[in-house]
Amino acid sequence: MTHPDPMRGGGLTPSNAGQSPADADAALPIVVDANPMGVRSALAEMRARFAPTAPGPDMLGMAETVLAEVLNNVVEHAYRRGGNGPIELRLERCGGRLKVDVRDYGDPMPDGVLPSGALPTCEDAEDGPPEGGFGWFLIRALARDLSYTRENGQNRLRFFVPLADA
Amino acid sequence: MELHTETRDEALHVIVAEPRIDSAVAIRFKDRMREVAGDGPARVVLDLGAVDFLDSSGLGAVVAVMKLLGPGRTLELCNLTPNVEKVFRLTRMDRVFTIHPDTEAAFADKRSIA
Repeated sequence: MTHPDPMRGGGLTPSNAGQSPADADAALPIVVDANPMGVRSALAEMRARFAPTAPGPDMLGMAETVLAEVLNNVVEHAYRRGGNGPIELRLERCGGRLKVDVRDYGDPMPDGVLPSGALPTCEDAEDGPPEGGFGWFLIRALARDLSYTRENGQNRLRFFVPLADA
Repeated sequence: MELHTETRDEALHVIVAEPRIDSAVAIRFKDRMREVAGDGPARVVLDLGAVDFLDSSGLGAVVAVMKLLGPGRTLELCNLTPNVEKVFRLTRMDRVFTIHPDTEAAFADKRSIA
């Protein structure tokens, strides 16, 4: 049972700030506040932990895109009712993939299920191309083995994302 | 939100001097674009060469900028970095915008006609 409060900070996990990534740190959750700057710091921490060991030009490109969309959704939807609660991010490298576990304590997914992620089209809007609705499409396009659970007030989204460049 | 602009070949060349267009700055980006390109040349070329990361909020903001230019004006893109290019391609927004590989290509057409 995870408690929402421990280790909640302004962004970076304190023990990891300014140090080179170590195996022990890789297991520590990244905990950020649910706001746009919290999302930025979580993504920066993800890069700090995994960039040095990832081969190739930018093997974290897909991971950063998927994580940004997942975390933005928590900020904009799960905590939309004025909450500024924590988001916990657990990351683990598994060969050529990044294993991701995102937890929050906001509202559950509507009907308890993940959005379909259909691509919005020009036909959906009367005034030209859509300006939104791309988030879940990108998540579904890039993430693998998505699973969502809601237990004891906690949302938990788990998936894998290939460590591959754009 | 730092934007650099210059008029080039009767088009407005807008260079985004920021590494990210994400949910933290998407609205500011849209507002700044309205300021620099709200009126002016019919053709606006948005140079995203410095932008390493664009999320769905940023993508929505770019679409919104295209719409705020209004009928008779066009928003074209150039210099997309790999991750940004992938977001446009996956969402099929690469079919909505004319995308030039680099600045030279963005302005070459006009020059050859002239």
